Amino acid sequence: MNMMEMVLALFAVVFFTSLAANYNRILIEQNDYLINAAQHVQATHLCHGVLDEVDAKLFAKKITYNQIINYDSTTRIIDLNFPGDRYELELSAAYCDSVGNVLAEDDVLSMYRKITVEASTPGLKYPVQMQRIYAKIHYYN
Amino acid sequence: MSIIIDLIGAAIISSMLILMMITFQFSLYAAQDRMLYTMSMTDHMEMTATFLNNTIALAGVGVDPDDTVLHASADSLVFKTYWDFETETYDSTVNTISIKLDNAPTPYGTQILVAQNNVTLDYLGNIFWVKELKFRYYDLDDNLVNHPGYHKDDIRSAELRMAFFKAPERNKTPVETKLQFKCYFMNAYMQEGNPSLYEG
Repeated sequence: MNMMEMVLALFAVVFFTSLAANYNRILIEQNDYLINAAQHVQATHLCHGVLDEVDAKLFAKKITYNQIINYDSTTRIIDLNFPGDRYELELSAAYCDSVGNVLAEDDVLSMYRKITVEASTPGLKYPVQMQRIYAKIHYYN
Repeated sequence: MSIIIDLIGAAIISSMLILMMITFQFSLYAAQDRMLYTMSMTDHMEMTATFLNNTIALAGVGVDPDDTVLHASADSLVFKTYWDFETETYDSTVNTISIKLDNAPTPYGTQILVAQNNVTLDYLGNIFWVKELKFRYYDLDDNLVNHPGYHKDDIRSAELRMAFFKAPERNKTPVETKLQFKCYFMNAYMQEGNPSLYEG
């Protein structure tokens, strides 16, 4: 094998390898999108579940309106053995106005509270965030 | 002679390259198919979960929270409510709503049957592409109810575990997705806090 043939063989190897690597990258990327889509739906429902839980407990008077703020800076680790993922939920609660803007200073007389839930798990490209504003319609605790 | 061997070698290498490219192209088509199916599947999962959540939230409207659940097992849930899902109004008589997976699978997967007084509801009744539907139950304090059949009066929320599947046309390996979510009996919770709602 002369020098020219060796160079050609080297080029062929480089060409084959780069083509294969490129195709594999595209396939892996698509697979990631599939996993991400399913995890996104799951994360959305976990966030929704937490916000519904607060609603349900308020309805049943298991918590008072003023206790909503206790959800602030809490973390929940949810191990879902059915889909087989482990999600981390970060909860924050704040005093806000009617459109959800956080008040500059905490005001216990404020009519509105906002809970934000952010769900993340390995594989999910961006954390899912969901918020709900709770309005006080009765002045009894 | 050496030129002929070189030409044969070149032909083998180029045919391998073309074969590899064709194979990758088919893999990409299959992945694309799965992607498209997953998009519709994700939409379907979201829609199904929202429907079921909305349905279960209306369990126990006008009923004593302890009497809301008529039957609770890992495979099905039956509850009472004064809400009429046919007319979307408050009914004068109590209705029985059942949620379960159909017995026989169809070409579109097994369907979830949501029935009011044993009549399948049209707009909720045919949720396809489902492979598995399982229930777990929780009480007012979010504790798992271990024997739901015996402790029906304690149940205040249900956790649904659903598996969906759909087989793309080109790639016969089905796209399978799973979802686990909790549905609160919102009306039962509301009546826990306001007993006058069902005591009259």
